[in-house]
Amino acid sequence: MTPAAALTRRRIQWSLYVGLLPATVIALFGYIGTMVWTIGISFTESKMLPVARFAGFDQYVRLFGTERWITSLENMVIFGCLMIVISLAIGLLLAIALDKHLRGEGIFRVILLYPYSMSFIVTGFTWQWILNPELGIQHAVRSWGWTSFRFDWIVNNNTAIYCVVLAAVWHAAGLVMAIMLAGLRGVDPDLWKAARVDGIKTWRVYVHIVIPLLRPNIITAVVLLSLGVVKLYDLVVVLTGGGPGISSEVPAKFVMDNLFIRQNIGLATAAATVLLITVLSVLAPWLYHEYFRPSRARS
Amino acid sequence: MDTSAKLLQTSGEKSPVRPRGKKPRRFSVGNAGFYVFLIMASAFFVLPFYVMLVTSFKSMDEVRLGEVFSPPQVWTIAPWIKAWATACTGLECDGISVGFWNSVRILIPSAICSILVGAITGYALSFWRARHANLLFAVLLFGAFVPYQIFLYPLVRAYSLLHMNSTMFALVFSHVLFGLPVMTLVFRNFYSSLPQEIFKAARVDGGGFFQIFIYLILPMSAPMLVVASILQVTGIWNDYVLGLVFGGLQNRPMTVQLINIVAPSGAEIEYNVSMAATILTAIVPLVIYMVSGRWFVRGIAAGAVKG
Amino acid sequence: MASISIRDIEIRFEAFQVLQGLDLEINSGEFIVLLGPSGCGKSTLLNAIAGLIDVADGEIWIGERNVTWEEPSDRNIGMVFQSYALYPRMTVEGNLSFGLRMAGVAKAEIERRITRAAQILRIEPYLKRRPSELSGGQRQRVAIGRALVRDVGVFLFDEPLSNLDAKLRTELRVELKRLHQELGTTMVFVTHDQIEALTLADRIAVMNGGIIQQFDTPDDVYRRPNNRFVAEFVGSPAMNFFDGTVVTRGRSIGFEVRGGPTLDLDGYAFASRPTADARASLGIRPEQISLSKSDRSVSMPAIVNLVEPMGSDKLLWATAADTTMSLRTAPDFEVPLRQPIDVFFQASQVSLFGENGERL
Repeated sequence: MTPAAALTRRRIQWSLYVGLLPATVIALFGYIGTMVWTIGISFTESKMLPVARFAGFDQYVRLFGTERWITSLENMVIFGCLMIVISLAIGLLLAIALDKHLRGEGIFRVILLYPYSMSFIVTGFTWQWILNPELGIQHAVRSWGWTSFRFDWIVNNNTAIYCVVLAAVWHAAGLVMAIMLAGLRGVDPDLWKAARVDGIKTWRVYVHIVIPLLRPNIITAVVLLSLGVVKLYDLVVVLTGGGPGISSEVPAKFVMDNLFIRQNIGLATAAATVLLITVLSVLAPWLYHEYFRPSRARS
Repeated sequence: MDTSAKLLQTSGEKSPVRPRGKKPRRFSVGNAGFYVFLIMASAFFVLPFYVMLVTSFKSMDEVRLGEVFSPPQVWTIAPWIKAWATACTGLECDGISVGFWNSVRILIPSAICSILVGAITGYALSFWRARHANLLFAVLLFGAFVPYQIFLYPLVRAYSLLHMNSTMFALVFSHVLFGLPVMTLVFRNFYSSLPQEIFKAARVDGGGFFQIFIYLILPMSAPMLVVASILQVTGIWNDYVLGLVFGGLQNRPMTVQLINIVAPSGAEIEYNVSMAATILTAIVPLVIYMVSGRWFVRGIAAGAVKG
Repeated sequence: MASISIRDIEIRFEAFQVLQGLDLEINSGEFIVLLGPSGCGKSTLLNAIAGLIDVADGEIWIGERNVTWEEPSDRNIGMVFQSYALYPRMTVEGNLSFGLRMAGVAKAEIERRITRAAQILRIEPYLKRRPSELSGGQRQRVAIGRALVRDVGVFLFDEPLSNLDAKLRTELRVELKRLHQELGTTMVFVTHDQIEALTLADRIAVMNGGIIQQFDTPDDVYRRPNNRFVAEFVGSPAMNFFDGTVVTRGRSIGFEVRGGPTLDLDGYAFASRPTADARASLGIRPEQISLSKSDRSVSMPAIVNLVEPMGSDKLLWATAADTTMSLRTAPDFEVPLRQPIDVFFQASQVSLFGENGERL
């Protein structure tokens, strides 16, 4: 290789790594570094400021002895299951309805998806007012004559979390719909013709043929929604403030509160680490299935 | 003997009768059901926003009447003016316009930087062979899935050590940091779908890393730039946590300020003003959504395809 | 086994008239090919027979029944699509049995039909596999199997070979012909490939612009095309055409090639013999032209410019009367290049077309 060519090659190599520098710095320090640091703190006695005194699993023991944390975990599971299942069902039905190309399809699509463009803060405030017994739906329905109508979930310990579910479904169903619609558009139209020639009823076509074809889309939607479940914070802060009491507490809020308000870093980082492990334990099998299984021939 | 003759014999008719007119249209019960479902769903989605809208145009007297669903008897824009210009956040009473302009000041550098870094990283990962590139990508993807609370505290400490606590720089950098995985993913997928031959031809012509990016790839990235912009502008504008933790008092975005405006301690809550402020906070992403139409959906699809 | 009768049907797509006043009679057990270029209406016609498209006017009869307003599943038909459209997540067995299961047919009966169909189509080893694990040929057989288990009277094929590579196409073409011989079911096959049409069909309906140009046996379509369109569309390489004038001199009739000699048309079977001189074009197929003289052949001067050795024969490209023409010779023939020579053919084998394109 001539010296000139070697020089050009080396220059190109350098500029490539320069280009990748921001990403590398961020990945290394922003992600890996901080994660290691956080996990590290969770094994120390830190309270208001990080200290280096090793504390073994003390923080974790304390964590799982905290009622607020246990409640938040329970809420996360309840919220997660309900929100995902309901959003999937509604989103799928909406996508099927839109796929039929009825009149006004464009307008419907605009209406059904706009909540997803709004911040969780806005979503939270919007629903907080509607769900307020004194000012919202309960009051309005009562003023129409049905004086014994009750819709005070948001102030009730047992039902506050369902309000969060409601607001989250309102926010996310449009997203699920968009994902499912993309999948529906990819279905071979000849499949419909073949089913028609075979004399198979439309609903059966959906159940036996179309929905199995949507499996990758459903998985994508579930993964995205699950991420939202774990990260759930803004919405709860605004909608219920974690209350009444601690009845709608969620893990992300627990961490944030302990980090910045209660100044209990050790406990907060332990909680964050537990969250991390939860996410990983769900993520790992999915990643393995998607990327590392010896791939069978796909049609 | 051909078929028609055979048929004439068996049916005994003189000549085949031709049915005129359209096929009797079977009324599709299924379709009607879906229509009803769509309308009900639309009502469910529109209702909350409608309530906010009408309340924001009422005077407080009307609001106290509590008829949440009825439009105002007397339309007034006073709540809007108050929300924008004179509502109080703590000790300042300059309305939510403060937060609005803060959000704008945060948005522009954050969006531009995160999109650019994402584009360059995606470009490097899809066209070039760098050592450990796959590892880098895996770490970034992994970072996208992990709840960000893990990263927050060390970042706060790091910023304060570098004396950049609560600065705009810290906030912008944080947005770039947390936006990088999705941006890289989105651009990498897009660049993978472009024909490699164009890139090879450019290299044969003697183009270097940045030259090819600026003169060849970036111009071809227009559709993706639009999608990425929609994703980032919406995401950054709607962000709450990063603005809360890294913004400090000087750089509070609209979402953070909104909470202070809406829940002041003590005095009666002015719902009409609160709702006007909330709508103002939602306007920018809403407008983007309305204007971008199909691009918004494309943005969702791009962000949803994980590899 | 069912016949198909299409009577005066009209199909409209929005304001555009795709088919109008179309009649077609198909006998029971025939293999009919609808042949034509894209947009000629052949797929529309097939979908109308299937009942996937409604007709605006006219009738469709299958067997003894007027099925014009019937749903596809009630028309006693089976259909094979270009993409085969097998149900992706089901096994072959599942694909074959799905329609029957949904209709509530008894399990034993379903088993019996599947076994029989699998035997005929030789797909027994694949019953437990998924479509993604099958080859193109196997998928086609499963697609046919879906119709076979429903015991239908008519099979409809919508360009099933168009997506395949040349080798597979030839293989599956032969399979289809064998299948038809074995089953004897009425088959309607849509294609734009004239080779498929010529090899598979009992009769070919050549279509263009929504109109059936000719409905005849492959032999007749090839040897005696009704009009210029059919003559040009069928046959590869295409028929050679020379413009000129038909000249009548008393009882004898000849063709004056423009810029060339006058050829004696004695021996050509006229469909409508012109009474006065008329402008026309003369068509002759490459394999019908020879470089050696034979009994009662007419001749034309020509110059060979290019030789394409095809293996089984040689394709020569020549110029005669300022027109490019192609002709075939034996593979070992010594071709005189770029010299004035004579080419010979029989008047009885030509096709003459008047100014309106119709056969004279």
